[in-house]
Amino acid sequence: MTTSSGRQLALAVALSWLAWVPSAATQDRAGEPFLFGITPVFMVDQTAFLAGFGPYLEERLGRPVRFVRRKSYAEITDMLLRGELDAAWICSFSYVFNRGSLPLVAIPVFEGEPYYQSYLIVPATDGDTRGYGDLRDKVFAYVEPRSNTGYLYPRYAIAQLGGDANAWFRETFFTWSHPDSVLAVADRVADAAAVDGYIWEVLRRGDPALTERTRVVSGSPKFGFPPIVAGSVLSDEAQARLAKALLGMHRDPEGRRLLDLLYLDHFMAPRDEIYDSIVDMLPAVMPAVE
Amino acid sequence: MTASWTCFQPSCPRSSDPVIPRSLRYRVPFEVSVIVLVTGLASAAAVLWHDYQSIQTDAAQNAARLAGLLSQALAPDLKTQGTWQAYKTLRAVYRGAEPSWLLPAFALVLDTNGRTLVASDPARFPLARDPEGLTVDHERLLREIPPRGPGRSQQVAGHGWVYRVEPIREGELVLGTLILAFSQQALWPRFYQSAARVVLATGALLLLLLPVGWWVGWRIARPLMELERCVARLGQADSNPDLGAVACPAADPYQELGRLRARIEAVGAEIQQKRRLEEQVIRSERQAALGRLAAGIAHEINNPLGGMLTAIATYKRHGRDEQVARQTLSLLERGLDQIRHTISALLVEVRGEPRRLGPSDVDDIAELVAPHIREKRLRLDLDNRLTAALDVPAGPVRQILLNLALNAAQAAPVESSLSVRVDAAGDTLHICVANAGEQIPEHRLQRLFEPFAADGPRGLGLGLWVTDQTVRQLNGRIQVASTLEQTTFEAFLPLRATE
Repeated sequence: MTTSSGRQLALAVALSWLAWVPSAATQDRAGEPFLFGITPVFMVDQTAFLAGFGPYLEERLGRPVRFVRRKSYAEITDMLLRGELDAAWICSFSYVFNRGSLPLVAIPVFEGEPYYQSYLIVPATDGDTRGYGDLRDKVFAYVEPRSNTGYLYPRYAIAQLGGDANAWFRETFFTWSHPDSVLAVADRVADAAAVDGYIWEVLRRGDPALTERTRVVSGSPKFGFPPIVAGSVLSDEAQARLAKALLGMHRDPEGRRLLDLLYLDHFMAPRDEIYDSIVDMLPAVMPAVE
Repeated sequence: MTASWTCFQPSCPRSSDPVIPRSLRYRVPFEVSVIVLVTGLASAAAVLWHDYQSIQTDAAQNAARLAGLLSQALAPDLKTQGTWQAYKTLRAVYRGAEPSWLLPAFALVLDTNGRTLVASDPARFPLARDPEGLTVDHERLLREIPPRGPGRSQQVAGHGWVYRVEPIREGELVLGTLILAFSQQALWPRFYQSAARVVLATGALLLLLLPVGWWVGWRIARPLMELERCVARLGQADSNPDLGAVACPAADPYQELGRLRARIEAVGAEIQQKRRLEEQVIRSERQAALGRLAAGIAHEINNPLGGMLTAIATYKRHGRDEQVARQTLSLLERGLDQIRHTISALLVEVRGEPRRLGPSDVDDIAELVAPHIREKRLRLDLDNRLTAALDVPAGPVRQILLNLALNAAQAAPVESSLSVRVDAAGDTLHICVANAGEQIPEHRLQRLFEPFAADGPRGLGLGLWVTDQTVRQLNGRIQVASTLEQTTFEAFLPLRATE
């Protein structure tokens, strides 16, 4: 995979899925189900999308497609690395962490750009908070430890303020889902949370009553949108077939309909350099990341 | 004549009496209805109290069950420090549920330091802070929480709230404490619901039972009312010439009332018989008294007649002598005059026309008792202080006066004195008759006015009893005092008295 500098844009979608199959595996597993990994972490309404996406992929891959769900990015990533999945939709941070091992297949384009950002949100009743500097001794909701927008960036931002993310808040907890982080803030379980901006925007269109109970304090710089990556053992041929199916989705009526469910423009060919800005943050927060 | 029925006048008012609670006709149904009402209300109160207790028990059981379930569900979340999962577990309890007595007002999970781990209402109970604004004594609550307290499931109540305190365990390890807060006020709507049903049912039942109760009471009272009417008829029958026609018809539903009715009929009959007897006795006594009076008067007339006849015989023998003739005529005149006086007093006595008592009525007494006075050579001291007619009937008073005077003349020893005084003072006519003689023993004084009390050589001893009856009819009273020297009868009669 090559690296190139990315522009910062926003937004990615829900959840991860994914995959592809190395040629050997393809040959070995021809006729067997194509295993696509997803997590609920940033899927808003996976049911309707997956109901159409499965048959769409099956038709183009010539194989049955099965979606494999796990709670966290880490689990999905581990399965990809072990060859237990053919492909998955994972977080940008998880991708960056395993840049060398997991080939990019396609990158979603949201509102014209392959970028998303992290939103700092607080309850709508909180009219005072202007940034992370105002959140000392507050309760903060992280999404999950392998989330870029929901964990890495907020810790980076605090480090930029010269603080220690481990001591900055009175209490933190993981919600294991971007929509749940929004809910945690709306219900005031947490005083603030950092969430995937793309997810928040999707929620704003589908469930405005929820997002209206939150206020976006600020957006982060833009990061490469969570990509669809292939498993370590997916064959080049299968990988190419998957890429073709994804990249041509917006030209297919059914594909268009599915993209609209996710409010995505289309998928674009991999551009590894758009994830560099995430790598740049790592030195500041690495001690905190396992 | 109705006075003899005094004791049989119903003591309760007649059915037409407007005072409702005092008439059995209304009182019995009223009291039966009150009993029905009180019973109904007491039952309702008992049911309500039972409901209230049930609701409390249900609420406590619900709280215990919910706390048990939640604490088990929360244990894995707390074990993995899954605050968000714990919140979602708490939130599941409230999702889509209307507020009700089953739902805790809020749920709180505290860590072992008593700080908030998570709450169903995070805005009210911020995470990682001491929960504030609890309505029970915070210290008391914390004492129940491990490691300070025993960490067992229990209830802490206060200020209209019940807190269910439930430890969250993983094996022996206590991970935290679940607190479910139930407002006692939330129970009231349910109680009101239940109460409304009870009140409605009781009301319907009372609507049904009250008329029945009234009817039952009326049925109980009805025979008594008939009995009362029967007794009233008995009273009227007194003035009815057909004295035997006193019967209570209508069969009685109760044996006791039947017997009572039969007894009343019997007593009524006895009383009427007695009354008739009394009237006969009084009539006979009157006739006997008149007889004695007539005998005395006959003697009184016979005496001058004897003198006059002797005078006429002398005149026949010696005739033609002017002086003898004058003496004879004078003697005849005096004799006839005496007879005329005697006859006129007797005529007044016999005539018995209703009229007012005058002074001459008292003077007549002297004429009427004169034979007895003379017979025993008594001294009569008549003190008539009346000056005009009084508003009191002459007949009965004359009888009273004559009876007392004759009685005194009879009791007085030969050649003793007898005094009669009649005086009107204020509203009362005062009659005082005194004679010398033996003292009447105390035990006889007590029974002097009862019939057959006297056992003298003459009469049946009814004289004083008749006198007493007559005085009573005039609403007066009579009294007697007896000393070693004399016996005094005094009668006090109210003036303006009507018979």
